[in-house]
Amino acid sequence: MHITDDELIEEMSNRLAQSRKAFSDLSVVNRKLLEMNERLKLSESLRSNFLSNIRNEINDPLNAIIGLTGQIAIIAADNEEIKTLTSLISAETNRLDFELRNIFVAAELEAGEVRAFCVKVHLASVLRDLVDSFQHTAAKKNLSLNLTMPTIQDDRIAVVDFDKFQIIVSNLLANAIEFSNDGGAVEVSFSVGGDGCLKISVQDHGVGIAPEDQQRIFDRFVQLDVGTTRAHLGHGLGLSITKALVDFMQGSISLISTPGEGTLFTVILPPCSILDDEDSFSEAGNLFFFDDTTKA
Amino acid sequence: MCSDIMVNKHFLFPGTIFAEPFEYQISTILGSCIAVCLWDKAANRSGMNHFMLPLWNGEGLATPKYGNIAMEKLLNKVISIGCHRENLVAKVFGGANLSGSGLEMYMIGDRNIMLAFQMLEEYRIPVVAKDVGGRVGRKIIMNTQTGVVLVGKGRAAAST
Repeated sequence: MHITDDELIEEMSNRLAQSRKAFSDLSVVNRKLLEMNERLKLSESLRSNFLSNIRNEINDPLNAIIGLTGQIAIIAADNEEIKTLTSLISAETNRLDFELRNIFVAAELEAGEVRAFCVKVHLASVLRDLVDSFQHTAAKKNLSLNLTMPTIQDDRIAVVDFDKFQIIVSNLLANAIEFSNDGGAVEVSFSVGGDGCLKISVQDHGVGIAPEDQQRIFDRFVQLDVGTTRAHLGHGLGLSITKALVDFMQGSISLISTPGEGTLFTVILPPCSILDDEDSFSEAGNLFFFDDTTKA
Repeated sequence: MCSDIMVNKHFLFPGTIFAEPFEYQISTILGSCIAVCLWDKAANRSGMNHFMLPLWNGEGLATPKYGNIAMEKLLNKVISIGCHRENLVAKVFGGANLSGSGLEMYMIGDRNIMLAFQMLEEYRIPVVAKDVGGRVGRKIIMNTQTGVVLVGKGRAAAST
Protein backbone atom coordinates (compact mmCIF):
# COMPACT_ATOMS: atom_id res chain seq x y z
CA MET A 1 0.00 0.00 0.00
CA HIS A 2 1.28 3.40 -0.87
CA ILE A 3 0.87 6.35 1.51
CA THR A 4 1.79 9.87 0.61
CA ASP A 5 3.81 12.05 2.93
CA ASP A 6 0.79 14.27 3.56
CA GLU A 7 -1.34 11.31 4.60
CA LEU A 8 1.41 10.08 6.88
CA ILE A 9 1.75 13.48 8.51
CA GLU A 10 -1.98 13.76 8.94
CA GLU A 11 -2.21 10.32 10.51
CA MET A 12 0.65 11.11 12.83
CA SER A 13 -0.82 14.39 13.96
CA ASN A 14 -4.15 12.63 14.53
CA ARG A 15 -2.49 10.09 16.76
CA LEU A 16 -0.52 12.78 18.52
CA ALA A 17 -3.74 14.68 19.21
CA GLN A 18 -5.31 11.50 20.57
CA SER A 19 -2.46 10.82 22.94
CA ARG A 20 -2.46 14.46 24.03
CA LYS A 21 -6.13 14.16 24.85
CA ALA A 22 -5.57 10.92 26.74
CA PHE A 23 -2.75 12.59 28.64
CA SER A 24 -4.87 15.58 29.58
CA ASP A 25 -7.69 13.26 30.66
CA LEU A 26 -5.24 11.42 32.87
CA SER A 27 -3.98 14.68 34.35
CA VAL A 28 -7.53 15.65 35.22
CA VAL A 29 -8.15 12.29 36.88
CA ASN A 30 -4.85 12.54 38.67
CA ARG A 31 -5.69 15.99 39.99
CA LYS A 32 -9.06 14.78 41.20
CA LEU A 33 -7.41 11.87 42.98
CA LEU A 34 -4.96 14.22 44.66
CA GLU A 35 -7.81 16.45 45.82
CA MET A 36 -9.70 13.44 47.11
CA ASN A 37 -6.61 12.22 48.90
CA GLU A 38 -6.20 15.59 50.62
CA ARG A 39 -9.83 15.54 51.73
CA LEU A 40 -9.47 12.00 53.10
CA LYS A 41 -6.33 12.96 55.00
CA LEU A 42 -8.10 15.95 56.47
CA SER A 43 -11.09 13.95 57.64
CA GLU A 44 -8.80 11.27 59.06
CA SER A 45 -6.89 13.84 61.10
CA LEU A 46 -10.05 15.63 62.23
CA ARG A 47 -11.40 12.32 63.46
CA SER A 48 -8.35 11.46 65.55
CA ASN A 49 -8.09 14.96 67.02
CA PHE A 50 -11.76 14.87 67.87
CA LEU A 51 -11.36 11.59 69.75
CA SER A 52 -8.46 12.72 71.89
CA ASN A 53 -10.30 15.94 72.70
CA ILE A 54 -13.54 14.36 73.88
CA ARG A 55 -11.84 11.72 75.98
CA ASN A 56 -12.32 13.38 79.36
CA GLU A 57 -15.74 14.73 78.49
CA ILE A 58 -16.91 11.16 78.10
CA ASN A 59 -14.87 9.33 80.71
CA ASP A 60 -15.70 11.61 83.65
CA PRO A 61 -19.48 11.23 83.53
CA LEU A 62 -19.17 7.52 82.79
CA ASN A 63 -16.92 6.99 85.81
CA ALA A 64 -19.42 8.93 87.91
CA ILE A 65 -22.21 6.62 86.76
CA ILE A 66 -20.15 3.51 87.51
CA GLY A 67 -19.21 4.80 90.95
CA LEU A 68 -22.70 5.95 91.87
CA THR A 69 -24.23 2.66 90.75
CA GLY A 70 -21.89 0.88 93.12
CA GLN A 71 -22.99 3.20 95.95
CA ILE A 72 -26.67 2.53 95.27
CA ALA A 73 -25.98 -1.20 95.32
CA ILE A 74 -24.36 -0.86 98.75
CA ILE A 75 -27.06 1.39 100.22
CA ALA A 76 -29.89 -0.82 99.00
CA ALA A 77 -28.13 -4.10 99.62
CA ASP A 78 -31.25 -5.79 101.00
CA ASN A 79 -33.61 -4.71 98.22
CA GLU A 80 -33.60 -7.46 95.58
CA GLU A 81 -35.31 -5.36 92.91
CA ILE A 82 -32.80 -2.51 93.17
CA LYS A 83 -29.94 -5.01 93.30
CA THR A 84 -31.02 -6.56 90.00
CA LEU A 85 -31.35 -3.14 88.42
CA THR A 86 -27.96 -1.94 89.63
CA SER A 87 -26.26 -5.11 88.41
CA LEU A 88 -27.86 -4.54 84.99
CA ILE A 89 -26.66 -0.93 84.97
CA SER A 90 -23.16 -2.10 85.96
CA ALA A 91 -23.09 -4.68 83.19
CA GLU A 92 -24.15 -2.13 80.58
CA THR A 93 -21.79 0.59 81.80
CA ASN A 94 -18.96 -1.93 81.83
CA ARG A 95 -19.71 -2.74 78.24
CA LEU A 96 -19.76 0.93 77.34
CA ASP A 97 -16.50 1.43 79.24
CA PHE A 98 -14.89 -1.43 77.31
CA GLU A 99 -15.97 0.00 73.96
CA LEU A 100 -14.76 3.48 74.90
CA ARG A 101 -11.38 2.18 76.04
CA ASN A 102 -11.08 0.51 72.65
CA ILE A 103 -11.87 3.70 70.80
CA PHE A 104 -9.53 5.82 72.89
CA VAL A 105 -6.66 3.39 72.69
CA ALA A 106 -7.16 3.33 68.91
CA ALA A 107 -6.90 7.14 68.93
CA GLU A 108 -3.74 6.92 71.07
CA LEU A 109 -2.18 4.36 68.76
CA GLU A 110 -2.98 6.46 65.73
CA ALA A 111 -1.56 9.60 67.33
CA GLY A 112 1.62 7.70 68.22
CA GLU A 113 1.12 8.59 71.85
CA VAL A 114 0.94 5.14 73.41
CA ARG A 115 3.21 4.60 76.37
CA ALA A 116 4.24 1.38 78.04
CA PHE A 117 3.54 1.02 81.75
CA CYS A 118 4.78 -2.32 82.95
CA VAL A 119 3.70 -3.64 86.33
CA LYS A 120 4.00 -6.94 88.11
CA VAL A 121 0.63 -8.64 88.24
CA HIS A 122 -0.85 -11.86 89.44
CA LEU A 123 -1.97 -13.09 86.05
CA ALA A 124 -4.43 -15.63 87.35
CA SER A 125 -6.51 -13.10 89.25
CA VAL A 126 -6.32 -10.54 86.47
CA LEU A 127 -7.57 -13.08 83.96
CA ARG A 128 -10.22 -14.36 86.35
CA ASP A 129 -11.54 -10.80 86.80
CA LEU A 130 -11.56 -10.30 83.05
CA VAL A 131 -13.39 -13.54 82.41
CA ASP A 132 -15.87 -12.69 85.18
CA SER A 133 -16.63 -9.33 83.63
CA PHE A 134 -17.79 -11.18 80.51
CA GLN A 135 -19.91 -13.75 82.35
CA HIS A 136 -22.96 -11.55 82.03
CA THR A 137 -22.62 -11.32 78.24
CA ALA A 138 -21.82 -15.01 77.97
CA ALA A 139 -24.85 -15.95 80.05
CA LYS A 140 -27.13 -14.37 77.46
CA LYS A 141 -25.96 -17.03 75.01
CA ASN A 142 -25.70 -19.82 77.59
CA LEU A 143 -21.97 -19.95 77.02
CA SER A 144 -19.55 -21.27 79.54
CA LEU A 145 -16.27 -19.41 79.91
CA ASN A 146 -13.46 -21.63 81.14
CA LEU A 147 -10.10 -20.41 82.35
CA THR A 148 -7.23 -22.88 82.47
CA MET A 149 -4.28 -21.98 84.67
CA PRO A 150 -0.76 -23.31 84.64
CA THR A 151 -0.22 -25.62 87.58
CA ILE A 152 3.04 -24.09 88.82
CA GLN A 153 2.41 -21.06 91.01
CA ASP A 154 5.39 -19.10 89.69
CA ASP A 155 3.91 -19.05 86.22
CA ARG A 156 1.02 -16.99 87.40
CA ILE A 157 3.05 -13.88 88.09
CA ALA A 158 4.24 -11.78 85.21
CA VAL A 159 5.36 -8.29 84.41
CA VAL A 160 3.00 -6.88 81.81
CA ASP A 161 1.56 -3.65 80.59
CA PHE A 162 -1.63 -4.18 82.52
CA ASP A 163 -3.97 -1.84 80.64
CA LYS A 164 -2.95 -3.03 77.22
CA PHE A 165 -3.02 -6.64 78.31
CA GLN A 166 -6.57 -6.13 79.55
CA ILE A 167 -7.69 -4.58 76.28
CA ILE A 168 -6.12 -7.37 74.23
CA VAL A 169 -7.72 -10.16 76.25
CA SER A 170 -11.08 -8.36 76.48
CA ASN A 171 -11.22 -8.00 72.73
CA LEU A 172 -10.38 -11.63 72.13
CA LEU A 173 -13.00 -12.66 74.68
CA ALA A 174 -15.67 -10.35 73.30
CA ASN A 175 -14.93 -11.65 69.85
CA ALA A 176 -15.06 -15.30 70.91
CA ILE A 177 -18.37 -14.76 72.69
CA GLU A 178 -19.89 -12.84 69.79
CA PHE A 179 -19.04 -15.52 67.27
CA SER A 180 -19.87 -18.55 69.42
CA ASN A 181 -23.02 -20.56 68.92
CA ASP A 182 -25.56 -20.61 71.75
CA GLY A 183 -24.76 -23.07 74.50
CA GLY A 184 -21.11 -23.54 73.54
CA ALA A 185 -17.93 -22.91 75.45
CA VAL A 186 -15.02 -20.51 75.26
CA GLU A 187 -11.69 -21.58 76.68
CA VAL A 188 -9.02 -19.19 77.87
CA SER A 189 -5.57 -20.42 78.83
CA PHE A 190 -2.22 -18.83 79.52
CA SER A 191 1.36 -19.76 80.27
CA VAL A 192 4.68 -18.07 80.83
CA GLY A 193 7.51 -19.64 78.86
CA GLY A 194 11.10 -20.13 80.00
CA ASP A 195 12.14 -17.12 77.93
CA GLY A 196 9.67 -14.96 79.82
CA CYS A 197 7.21 -14.82 76.93
CA LEU A 198 3.59 -14.71 77.94
CA LYS A 199 1.20 -16.78 75.87
CA ILE A 200 -2.57 -16.35 75.98
CA SER A 201 -4.96 -18.47 73.97
CA VAL A 202 -8.68 -17.98 73.44
CA GLN A 203 -10.55 -20.81 71.79
CA ASP A 204 -14.16 -20.66 70.64
CA HIS A 205 -16.33 -23.26 68.95
CA GLY A 206 -18.30 -20.87 66.81
CA VAL A 207 -18.62 -19.97 63.16
CA GLY A 208 -14.90 -19.98 62.34
CA ILE A 209 -13.11 -17.94 59.68
CA ALA A 210 -12.47 -19.02 56.09
CA PRO A 211 -8.75 -19.14 55.15
CA GLU A 212 -9.11 -16.29 52.63
CA ASP A 213 -10.52 -14.00 55.33
CA GLN A 214 -8.00 -14.80 58.03
CA GLN A 215 -5.73 -11.83 57.42
CA ARG A 216 -8.52 -9.41 56.56
CA ILE A 217 -10.10 -9.68 60.02
CA PHE A 218 -7.29 -7.50 61.44
CA ASP A 219 -8.23 -4.60 59.18
CA ARG A 220 -10.27 -1.88 60.77
CA PHE A 221 -14.04 -1.75 60.42
CA VAL A 222 -14.04 -5.18 58.78
CA GLN A 223 -16.73 -7.60 59.74
CA LEU A 224 -17.14 -10.56 57.54
CA ASP A 225 -20.89 -10.24 57.11
CA VAL A 226 -21.80 -6.69 56.24
CA GLY A 227 -25.06 -4.85 55.60
CA THR A 228 -27.97 -3.82 57.75
CA THR A 229 -29.02 -7.38 58.48
CA ARG A 230 -25.67 -8.52 59.77
CA ALA A 231 -25.98 -10.93 62.64
CA HIS A 232 -23.14 -9.68 64.82
CA LEU A 233 -22.65 -6.70 67.09
CA GLY A 234 -19.60 -4.50 67.30
CA HIS A 235 -17.80 -1.89 65.26
CA GLY A 236 -15.14 -4.07 63.68
CA LEU A 237 -12.37 -2.22 65.50
CA GLY A 238 -11.59 -4.79 68.18
CA LEU A 239 -9.21 -7.06 66.30
CA SER A 240 -7.42 -4.23 64.51
CA ILE A 241 -6.77 -2.62 67.90
CA THR A 242 -5.65 -5.94 69.33
CA LYS A 243 -3.23 -6.39 66.44
CA ALA A 244 -1.86 -2.85 66.74
CA LEU A 245 -1.38 -3.26 70.52
CA VAL A 246 0.34 -6.61 70.11
CA ASP A 247 2.59 -5.03 67.47
CA PHE A 248 3.37 -2.17 69.84
CA MET A 249 4.35 -4.64 72.55
CA GLN A 250 6.48 -6.43 69.95
CA GLY A 251 4.48 -9.61 70.31
CA SER A 252 2.65 -11.71 67.79
CA ILE A 253 -0.92 -12.79 67.19
CA SER A 254 -1.93 -15.84 65.22
CA LEU A 255 -5.07 -17.82 64.58
CA ILE A 256 -6.05 -21.31 63.63
CA SER A 257 -9.59 -21.59 62.35
CA THR A 258 -11.86 -24.03 60.60
CA PRO A 259 -15.17 -22.68 59.30
CA GLY A 260 -18.01 -24.18 61.28
CA GLU A 261 -15.75 -25.51 64.03
CA GLY A 262 -14.32 -22.44 65.72
CA THR A 263 -11.23 -20.33 66.05
CA LEU A 264 -8.18 -20.37 68.27
CA PHE A 265 -6.45 -17.04 68.77
CA THR A 266 -2.98 -17.08 70.31
CA VAL A 267 -1.16 -13.99 71.48
CA ILE A 268 2.49 -14.14 72.48
CA LEU A 269 3.95 -11.17 74.34
CA PRO A 270 7.69 -10.85 74.98
CA PRO A 271 8.83 -9.93 78.49
CA CYS A 272 8.18 -6.30 79.33
CA SER A 273 11.89 -5.66 79.82
CA ILE A 274 12.19 -5.46 76.02
CA LEU A 275 9.85 -2.49 76.04
CA ASP A 276 11.16 -0.96 79.19
CA ASP A 277 14.87 -1.24 78.99
CA GLU A 278 16.40 1.84 77.51
CA ASP A 279 19.85 0.71 78.53
CA SER A 280 19.68 -2.48 76.52
CA PHE A 281 22.11 -0.86 74.12
CA SER A 282 24.63 0.23 76.68
CA GLU A 283 27.38 -1.81 75.04
CA ALA A 284 26.57 -0.24 71.70
CA GLY A 285 29.97 0.64 70.27
CA ASN A 286 31.14 4.18 69.79
CA LEU A 287 28.93 7.17 70.08
CA PHE A 288 29.16 9.46 67.11
CA PHE A 289 28.50 13.10 67.56
CA PHE A 290 25.90 14.66 65.30
CA ASP A 291 25.26 18.32 65.80
CA ASP A 292 24.14 21.10 63.61
CA THR A 293 27.50 21.51 61.93
CA THR A 294 27.71 17.94 60.71
CA LYS A 295 27.38 17.89 56.97
CA ALA A 296 24.64 15.76 55.50
CA MET B 1 27.68 16.43 76.22
CA CYS B 2 24.52 14.75 77.34
CA SER B 3 24.46 15.31 81.03
CA ASP B 4 22.11 13.18 83.05
CA ILE B 5 21.39 15.94 85.51
CA MET B 6 17.81 17.09 85.70
CA VAL B 7 16.94 16.31 82.11
CA ASN B 8 13.65 14.53 81.53
CA LYS B 9 14.11 11.33 79.64
CA HIS B 10 11.86 9.65 77.17
CA PHE B 11 12.34 6.31 75.51
CA LEU B 12 10.69 6.36 72.11
CA PHE B 13 8.91 3.15 71.18
CA PRO B 14 8.57 1.97 67.62
CA GLY B 15 5.44 3.40 66.07
CA THR B 16 5.27 6.41 68.35
CA ILE B 17 6.07 10.11 68.18
CA PHE B 18 7.43 12.44 70.82
CA ALA B 19 7.51 16.22 70.91
CA GLU B 20 7.20 18.38 74.02
CA PRO B 21 7.94 22.07 74.47
CA PHE B 22 10.50 21.33 77.22
CA GLU B 23 13.99 19.93 77.30
CA TYR B 24 13.98 16.17 77.00
CA GLN B 25 16.50 13.51 76.24
CA ILE B 26 14.85 11.18 73.74
CA SER B 27 16.46 7.84 73.06
CA THR B 28 15.47 5.05 70.75
CA ILE B 29 16.84 1.88 69.20
CA LEU B 30 16.78 1.37 65.45
CA GLY B 31 17.25 -1.57 63.16
CA SER B 32 15.57 -1.24 59.82
CA CYS B 33 13.34 1.44 61.36
CA ILE B 34 13.91 5.12 60.79
CA ALA B 35 13.87 7.93 63.30
CA VAL B 36 13.49 11.44 61.94
CA CYS B 37 14.25 14.38 64.21
CA LEU B 38 12.77 17.74 63.33
CA TRP B 39 14.45 20.61 65.11
CA ASP B 40 13.58 24.29 65.13
CA LYS B 41 16.92 26.08 65.62
CA ALA B 42 15.33 29.35 66.64
CA ALA B 43 12.75 27.99 69.07
CA ASN B 44 15.15 25.31 70.38
CA ARG B 45 12.42 22.73 70.27
CA SER B 46 12.24 19.44 68.49
CA GLY B 47 10.47 16.14 68.10
CA MET B 48 11.19 12.65 66.87
CA ASN B 49 9.31 9.81 65.25
CA HIS B 50 10.21 6.15 64.86
CA PHE B 51 8.60 4.26 62.01
CA MET B 52 8.90 0.64 60.98
CA LEU B 53 7.44 0.41 57.48
CA PRO B 54 7.29 2.94 54.64
CA LEU B 55 3.63 3.14 53.72
CA TRP B 56 0.27 2.60 55.37
CA ASN B 57 -1.73 0.23 53.22
CA GLY B 58 -5.08 1.79 54.10
CA GLU B 59 -6.06 -1.21 56.24
CA GLY B 60 -5.45 -1.71 59.95
CA LEU B 61 -5.04 1.30 62.21
CA ALA B 62 -3.38 4.35 60.68
CA THR B 63 -0.60 4.44 63.25
CA PRO B 64 2.79 6.20 62.98
CA LYS B 65 4.29 2.75 62.56
CA TYR B 66 4.09 3.71 58.90
CA GLY B 67 6.44 6.32 57.46
CA ASN B 68 3.98 8.42 55.53
CA ILE B 69 1.78 8.79 58.61
CA ALA B 70 4.67 9.22 61.04
CA MET B 71 6.21 12.04 58.98
CA GLU B 72 2.97 13.96 58.66
CA LYS B 73 2.09 13.54 62.33
CA LEU B 74 5.56 14.54 63.50
CA LEU B 75 5.45 17.71 61.41
CA ASN B 76 2.03 18.63 62.81
CA LYS B 77 3.19 17.86 66.31
CA VAL B 78 6.36 19.94 66.29
CA ILE B 79 4.37 22.83 64.84
CA SER B 80 1.81 22.41 67.62
CA ILE B 81 4.56 22.79 70.26
CA GLY B 82 5.67 26.08 68.76
CA CYS B 83 8.17 25.21 66.04
CA HIS B 84 8.07 27.23 62.84
CA ARG B 85 8.03 25.27 59.67
CA GLU B 86 10.53 27.49 57.89
CA ASN B 87 13.07 27.09 60.73
CA LEU B 88 12.93 23.31 60.76
CA VAL B 89 15.88 21.14 59.92
CA ALA B 90 15.89 17.35 59.85
CA LYS B 91 18.23 14.63 61.02
CA VAL B 92 17.60 11.12 59.76
CA PHE B 93 18.86 7.86 61.29
CA GLY B 94 18.35 4.13 60.87
CA GLY B 95 17.21 2.07 57.92
CA ALA B 96 19.79 -0.69 58.29
CA ASN B 97 19.30 -3.90 56.37
CA LEU B 98 19.98 -6.26 59.20
CA SER B 99 21.55 -9.48 58.18
CA GLY B 100 19.94 -12.53 59.64
CA SER B 101 16.59 -10.91 60.18
CA GLY B 102 15.13 -12.83 57.25
CA LEU B 103 13.76 -9.57 55.94
CA GLU B 104 16.75 -8.52 53.85
CA MET B 105 15.04 -9.44 50.63
CA TYR B 106 12.28 -6.95 51.28
CA MET B 107 14.85 -4.17 51.68
CA ILE B 108 12.68 -2.57 54.34
CA GLY B 109 15.57 -0.42 55.51
CA ASP B 110 16.21 1.03 52.05
CA ARG B 111 12.55 1.65 51.41
CA ASN B 112 12.22 3.39 54.77
CA ILE B 113 15.19 5.62 53.96
CA MET B 114 13.74 6.55 50.57
CA LEU B 115 10.39 7.40 52.08
CA ALA B 116 11.93 9.62 54.75
CA PHE B 117 14.03 11.64 52.29
CA GLN B 118 11.20 11.85 49.79
CA MET B 119 8.78 13.28 52.32
CA LEU B 120 11.34 15.71 53.75
CA GLU B 121 11.98 16.96 50.24
CA GLU B 122 8.25 17.35 49.71
CA TYR B 123 8.03 19.35 52.92
CA ARG B 124 11.13 21.34 51.83
CA ILE B 125 12.87 20.62 55.13
CA PRO B 126 16.66 20.46 54.75
CA VAL B 127 18.45 17.37 56.05
CA VAL B 128 21.44 18.60 58.07
CA ALA B 129 22.64 15.27 59.40
CA LYS B 130 22.08 11.65 58.55
CA ASP B 131 23.40 8.24 59.35
CA VAL B 132 21.40 5.66 57.44
CA GLY B 133 21.70 2.23 55.88
CA GLY B 134 24.42 -0.25 56.62
CA ARG B 135 23.97 -3.59 58.27
CA VAL B 136 24.02 -2.83 61.99
CA GLY B 137 21.54 -1.36 64.40
CA ARG B 138 21.82 2.01 66.06
CA LYS B 139 20.95 3.65 69.32
CA ILE B 140 20.30 7.34 69.13
CA ILE B 141 19.98 9.90 71.89
CA MET B 142 18.76 13.39 71.18
CA ASN B 143 18.53 16.49 73.28
CA THR B 144 15.36 18.26 72.22
CA GLN B 145 16.63 21.71 73.13
CA THR B 146 20.09 21.70 71.59
CA GLY B 147 19.12 19.38 68.75
CA VAL B 148 22.32 17.40 69.35
CA VAL B 149 22.02 13.74 68.46
CA LEU B 150 24.35 10.99 69.63
CA VAL B 151 24.47 7.84 67.56
CA GLY B 152 25.71 4.51 68.86
CA LYS B 153 26.43 1.80 66.35
CA GLY B 154 27.92 -1.60 66.37
CA ARG B 155 25.42 -4.15 67.48
CA ALA B 156 22.48 -5.55 65.54
CA ALA B 157 19.35 -4.24 67.20
CA ALA B 158 16.10 -6.06 67.64
CA SER B 159 13.93 -6.33 64.57
CA THR B 160 12.64 -2.81 65.02
